[in-house]
Amino acid sequence: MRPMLSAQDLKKVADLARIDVPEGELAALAGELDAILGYVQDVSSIPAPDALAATETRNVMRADANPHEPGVHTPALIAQFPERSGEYLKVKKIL
Amino acid sequence: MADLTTLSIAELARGYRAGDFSPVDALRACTEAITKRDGDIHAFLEVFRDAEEAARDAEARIRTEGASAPMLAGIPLAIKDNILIEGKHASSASKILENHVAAYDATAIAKLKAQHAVFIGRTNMDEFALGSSTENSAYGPTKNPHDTSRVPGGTSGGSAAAVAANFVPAALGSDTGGSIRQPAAFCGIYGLKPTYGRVSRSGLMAAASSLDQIGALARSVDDVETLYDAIKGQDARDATTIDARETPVPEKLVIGVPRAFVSEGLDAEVRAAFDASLEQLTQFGCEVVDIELPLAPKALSIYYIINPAEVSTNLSRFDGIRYGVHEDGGTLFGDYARSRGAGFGKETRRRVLVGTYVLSAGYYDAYYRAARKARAALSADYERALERVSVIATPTAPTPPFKLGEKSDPLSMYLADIFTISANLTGMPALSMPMGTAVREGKPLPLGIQFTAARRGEPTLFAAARALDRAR
Repeated sequence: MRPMLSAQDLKKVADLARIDVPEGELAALAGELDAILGYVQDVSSIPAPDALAATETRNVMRADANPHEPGVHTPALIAQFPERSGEYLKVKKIL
Repeated sequence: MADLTTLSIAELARGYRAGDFSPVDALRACTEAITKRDGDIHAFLEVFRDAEEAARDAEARIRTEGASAPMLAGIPLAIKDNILIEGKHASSASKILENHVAAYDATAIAKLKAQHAVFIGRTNMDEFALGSSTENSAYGPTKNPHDTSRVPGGTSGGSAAAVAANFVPAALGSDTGGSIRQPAAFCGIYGLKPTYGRVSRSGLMAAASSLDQIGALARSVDDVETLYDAIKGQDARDATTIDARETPVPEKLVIGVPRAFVSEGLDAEVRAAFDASLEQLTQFGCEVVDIELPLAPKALSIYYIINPAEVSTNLSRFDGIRYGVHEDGGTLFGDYARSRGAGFGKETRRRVLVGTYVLSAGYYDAYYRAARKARAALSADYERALERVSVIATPTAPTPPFKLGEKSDPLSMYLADIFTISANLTGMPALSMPMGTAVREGKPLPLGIQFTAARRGEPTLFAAARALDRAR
């Protein structure tokens, strides 16, 4: 049996998901998720073929040709940047 | 002048060409209806101020081309808030995209623009297409026009309500687990989810990429079909789209009913209306047979693993960096976490977290991989059944439209999807149409019946729907 999802476990998942969950909400949210996971966990007991079909998905590539004119979409896209400096998107330091 | 808001697409098109009234007349009638009544219903998040210009362009085109002008020229349409129209706001009813303006047209929108259709506004929905009632919108719920204390269904609740309230003759919605069909049922109209790949998803904000389809909502089969014909087609921008082949309609329609599956947990009036519809189809000359779909009751478990998994991946792009709302979190990681924590609603947060969990190391095999395999087995069940029958029939929803606030427990909301999710899991086309009413507190509430056909079987769906219309 799967152990109950604790608030600690949820904090780890929330970090993976890059979502800030306020401390005070962790326990209740863990309870909700635990109920959902409890409901869906019977999926592993559904009789199903062992291997996924080889043709389930395949890559569809287009020719690397006919590019649009450089810059044609740029104004519309940079207009959306929440933080910008000229034509540059501003982000915090990574390192 | 007749009440233009009650006319069908075909009737409007006829009137335009005969000179009885114009696209501007029709648009004004619709806008007036919205002004008068949408305060109570909240189908729309925004009514576009410049729609009249598009209506005038359509008028000019009809004047020039006459009868050969496209069917949708000058027809007012409502568009769900997750479908991109260049230059217009599109927020998927989320706070995190409150200020987002679409940088390009969805392919479906481009096709409609080419016909000079008129977009009257963007409609309300559950945030990021996650929900079954439109109560998860960050901008307030939409009410059911038949009873404003009840939900219109979701996630295309705004589109369904707009059509049902005669604000527009037709609307675009999207359907990931029933999000066109269930609101169509709850609002007493027709709704189609096409075969997966039939309509391009380019410009549809992705919820679950292997499940999503754009589709049509309207007050008749004819109008649904007209809108569907306009938006379908293979698209180089969406590699999952398929070629134009459709399977022909069989000479005799055989309706398959998964008895065991539809016997569980059905509201008594839904059952009675369903049985009555089957009887009408039998009287009309269709054959109704029992079929078995042994894995159908497991579809919810499969769905509520695959949907959250794909959603968690698709929504990772909403990080407050390139577009949308940005909250400062001190560090880059903090910026992501704060922006998403503040910008996502409760159901969105739940889905992303469930999805992250089922894809994470240690849980991936037991949940996600198992769900993928089970999905294939479910599809095989449906394919087997559809070798024997032309369509599979079930009620669209197990209950009549429920009250706002009634399903506050997330799991209880998920259970409402029991009949609709399989069409998305199998990629098969499915259509919901009106199926009588159930009376609650003296008010007749719409019910829906759903037909599912094999992939590429939209013509058969339309034939079954027309058969039931004529049988009544």
